[in-house]
This record gives sequence, C-alpha cells and structure tokens, in this order.
Amino acid sequence: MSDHSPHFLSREATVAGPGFSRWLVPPAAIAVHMCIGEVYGFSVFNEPLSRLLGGAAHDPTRDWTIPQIGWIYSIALVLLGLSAAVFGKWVERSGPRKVMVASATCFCSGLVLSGIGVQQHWLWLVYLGYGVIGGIGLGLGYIAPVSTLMKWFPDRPGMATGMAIMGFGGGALIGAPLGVTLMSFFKTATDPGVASTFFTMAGLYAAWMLFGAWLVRVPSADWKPEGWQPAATGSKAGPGKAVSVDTAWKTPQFWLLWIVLCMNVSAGIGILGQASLMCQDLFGVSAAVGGGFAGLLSLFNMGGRFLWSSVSDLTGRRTVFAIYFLLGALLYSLVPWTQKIGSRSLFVVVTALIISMYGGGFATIPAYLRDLFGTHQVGAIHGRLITAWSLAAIVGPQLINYISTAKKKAGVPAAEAYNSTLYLMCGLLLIGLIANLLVRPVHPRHHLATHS
Amino acid sequence: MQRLLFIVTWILVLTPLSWGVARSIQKSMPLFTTGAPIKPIQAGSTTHTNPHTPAKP
Repeated sequence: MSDHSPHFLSREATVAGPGFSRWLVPPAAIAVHMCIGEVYGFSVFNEPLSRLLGGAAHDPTRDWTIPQIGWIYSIALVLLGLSAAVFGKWVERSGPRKVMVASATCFCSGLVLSGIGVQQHWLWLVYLGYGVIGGIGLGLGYIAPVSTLMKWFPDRPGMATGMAIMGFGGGALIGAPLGVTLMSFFKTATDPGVASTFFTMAGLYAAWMLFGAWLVRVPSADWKPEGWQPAATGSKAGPGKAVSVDTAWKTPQFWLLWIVLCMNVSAGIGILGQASLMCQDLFGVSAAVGGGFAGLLSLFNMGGRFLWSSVSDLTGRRTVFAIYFLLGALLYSLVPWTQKIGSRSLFVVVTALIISMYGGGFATIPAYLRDLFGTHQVGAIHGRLITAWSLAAIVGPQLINYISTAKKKAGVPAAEAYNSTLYLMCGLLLIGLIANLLVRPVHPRHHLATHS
Repeated sequence: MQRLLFIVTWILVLTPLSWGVARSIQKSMPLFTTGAPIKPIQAGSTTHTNPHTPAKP
C-alpha cells in the first residue's frame, strides 16, 4: 500500500469507484440498524435481571427492582438522542465507515461491560455500559447511514432511508427472540444466563455492524443516478441549495419538524407501550392473545417504515405527514368504538394502521429534512431532531401510564380507562398536523452561498 | 463479482430479518387462532391478565 493511500476508515477511502452498485449501500445500513434496533427488545431482560441473586423468587433485599432496571433502557434512549445531536457534525465530516465502526465499538463494548456488571451485580456498570456507552453507539449508528443513503438515492430518498430505518424496527423483532433463545441456552439452576447472552450478542452484533462498515461507500461528488435530473424530483432543496446544521436548527422549519416528530412518536407510543394490556382490557382476551397483538403491531411498525416512506417519494413529505396526522387522529377516535361494538378484528386493523404510520414517521422525517435543508449536513440536522424522539420515548409512556392508572383507580371500568388516553393521542396528532401545515420552504438567505 | 457480493450481502441482512419476522408472526398467531370468549369487564376493575407486560416504544 502506498504511503498516500487514504486510511481505511477515512471518508476518502469510502468513495465508490466507477460501476459500484448503489444497491449495496442499503444492506450496509440495514446491517447496522438491525443490530442497534435490539434496544427495542431490551424488555426481555427485565425479569431475568430482577432475579440474578434470588433465583426464581425475586429477593427484594438483594435483587434489582424492575424500576431500577427500567432506567437502563431510558438512559440508552436519552444518550441516543444526545449523542446524535452532539456528534452529528463529526458524523458528516468523518464519513459513514468511521462512524459505523465507532458505533459498533460503543454498542458492543457497552454490551460486554453490562455483562460484567451483571456478573458482578454492579448496576452502575450496566447503566454505564448499556445505558451510556451503548446509548452513544445507538445514536452514532442511527444517523451514520442516513445522509449516505440520501446521496445515493436522490431520486428516491424516502424509500432509501425507509429501508435503513425499517432495519431498526426489525432489530426488535430479532433482538427480543434472540435474547430469549440465548438466555434459555445459557441459563443454569443458579444463573438466568443474562451475562453470557450479552457477551454472545456483543460478538454477533460486532460482526454484522463491522460488515456494514466494510461494505458502505459514499458516491463521488459528480455522481448521479443514470438519467436522473435534480429538477425532475420537485425537491424544495436542489443540490445547490444547502443549509448548515448551525443555521438549520435556528430556523422555524427545524422546530416545526421537531414538534411533528415528537407528536407522532408520543401518539404511537400510546398504543405500542400498552398494546398487550390494552387488548386484554378492552376485549377480555388472554395474555397469549395480547402478546400476539403486540407481535403483530411490531410487524406493522417495521413494514410501515418502508411502505410509507416510499409513498412519500410520490406524494411529497408534507402530504404524507398530513395523512399520518389526520388519518391517525380519526383512527384513534375509532378505537373506543371498536371496543363498544366488540369487534376485535376491527380493533386490530385500526391499531395496525396507526402503528404503521408511527413507523412511517420515523422513516420519512430524514427525507423531509433533506427536502428543506439539502443533503449537505442532513445527517447532523437529523441528529439534532432525534432529541424529539428521546423526549417522547421517555415522557410519552409515563404520561399514558399515569392517566390510565389514575382512571382505573378512580373506578372507571378497565375497558373505558383508555378512552381519555386515546383522545389525548388525537389531540397530540392534531398539534402535529398544525405544525406540519405551517412548514414552508427555508428562506434562501439561510442557504450556503458557496455550496455547489 | 459484484453480482455475487450483491447476493451475499442481501442474504446476510435478509436472513436474520426474516427469522425475526417469522418469530413475530408465530407470536401473533394466538390473536387469530384463539377464539377466546370476550369476558365481561367489571366496572372499576383494575386487574389485568398480565400486569407485568413491559412497555416498548
């Protein structure tokens, strides 16, 4: 190798040569996203982590409590948003490969540290490992491939980011059963097998994430899809119009989209967070059926990410978000009615549609940012917007739990206790709709003059 | 060569995703196969069949 060869991790080393197929980039992005999406399946570890010392019977004097364990997930999600916001500019500067390697290092070393924390029964180390270090890996891995994909697919940016973010949704479908399978393999009479599961997952995920980092490429500066003309897409921000992250986050458009994402996530969590319990309460079905309902929603959450974001390439981002909010509010208001008429199948159809749009929101927002601010620093701008998700993911479920529990305590029948929550979700969606309708193209004075 | 790489990479990402989807479909089967009768819900009832269902965003 020549002394002048760019470093393997550098952006220069990832510039694709002539003839490179852009269809190799989505699998690289999916490989990373489906690993870090494991965080959504973390709840499978809650019960085993609460009986590390006491065995089958939880020992309240020595074992960790479920609320203490719940903080692991919450810290990880907060750090996801913070790291995406803080490191966004570095992500843009360094290129996707270096960031994917950094993400793999953080996420997998976080799992290893957590495994040691579980072995030693040091909760602080699990907080530090999975929560803080792993959470930084989540943030880096989440935004790393997004702007790269949009540069490769300027003709279909929604579909491109939809594929990666679908991988994140799919990560839960893989992570949860993988965790359960590994724990049942490693468990002994005295050990639920959590530490060994963490170590094994760290190895498996490192292999997949590093494979993605090896595979990823950025297009050369003059590359464009064959036969594609920028004007043909109807994009608000052509290649010559770019807004820097430092300017973007001072524009009203950024904060309107922040509200759009926050409201969409909060409303979706209203169903997802309580899916199993809600199904049982509303229709008096067994826990197995409730669990089946939650599993079905996860599928629609994943599928909606790809489907709706692809639709947004045809309809435009503003229209598709208007559909999410209007149709979502209408469907939420129908949920109490489905219970009233006792139609379980209609309830399933309505909620599945709602969740598909919740997933669709995540997948469509990067392309919306690209339309407004261009691709120049869209990864960094996306990173700052993700703080809306962190906030909604922490505050949303707490709010919903609080309202439904208060209603039940007040003597409201279990089946009706959700009505206030559902109407609250409608309200949140209507706030999101207003924010979405207020979005206008960014004023040209914010565009970078020198960008070409 | 690039065609082979294309096939291998897509297989490598789609295999675990398909496994996850298959497990999820399997998990959701009781929703369609169990003809559980609808239980009457008592006014003021705060009990649930599965009170420890974890919250998942």
